[in-house]
Amino acid sequence: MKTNRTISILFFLLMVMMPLNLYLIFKVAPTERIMGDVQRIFYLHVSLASGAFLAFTCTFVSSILFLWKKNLVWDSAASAAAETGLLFATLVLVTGSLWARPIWNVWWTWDPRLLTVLILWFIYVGYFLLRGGIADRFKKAQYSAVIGIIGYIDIPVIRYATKWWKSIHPLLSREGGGLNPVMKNVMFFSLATFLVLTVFLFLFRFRLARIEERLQKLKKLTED
Amino acid sequence: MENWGYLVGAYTVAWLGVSFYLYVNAKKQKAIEERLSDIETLLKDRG
Repeated sequence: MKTNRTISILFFLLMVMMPLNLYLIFKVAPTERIMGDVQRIFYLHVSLASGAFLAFTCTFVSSILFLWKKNLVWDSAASAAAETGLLFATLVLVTGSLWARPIWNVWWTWDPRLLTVLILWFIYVGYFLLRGGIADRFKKAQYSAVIGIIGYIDIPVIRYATKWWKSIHPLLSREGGGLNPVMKNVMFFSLATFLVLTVFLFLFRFRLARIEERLQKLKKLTED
Repeated sequence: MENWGYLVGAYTVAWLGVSFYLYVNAKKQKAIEERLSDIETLLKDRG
């Protein structure tokens, strides 16, 4: 009941924030001098990446809690967050590619940042392939928790890839990386919008996972 | 506007992707809830 209410509140919040976010990106944010209008992909691309990292962090924490408490609720939370993270990571790769084509003149390049994000994507695709391949509910949760924890190692590697290796990917510092103040504020609002969207999608998927669990339990009852 | 196709494409792909994900999960939820209600009725009938 509490989850349902939170999902409804987040949904209405998103109905206000999403159009406002688009208005700020396309009407308020100034056009970047060198890249032109295509630079506006930046607000979407970075926000999606932040959402993905937040979701994978939730998978990491939930996986640890599952291995510690042995409670399947934590596995449902981990897989729901991983699904949200994978969706966002896919969109990060697609939007990044659509931004790279007019700026770098290529759809894809083997840059350390791009490569580490692609590795992250494959890790979580593997996570779901593994879950699909194991019938035993508890074993499925155990094995995927291990991947959820080990896979998370890639997140700091992605974060520091542009510092550790030669990279053409733009580096955004904590202070805003020389962004115009208006651009910075629009970026913060976009990040807030995608934070709400991430939590909304996670709770939506988590609720579905819990309903699925209940169905499986009732199915067993009818079989007995 | 230069390169508008890439800009519009990126936003369209992102929002379509999220909308499609929500649509698929909402449909899945509806189907599971129907199945749940059927099983609950069956269990009630059994006593």
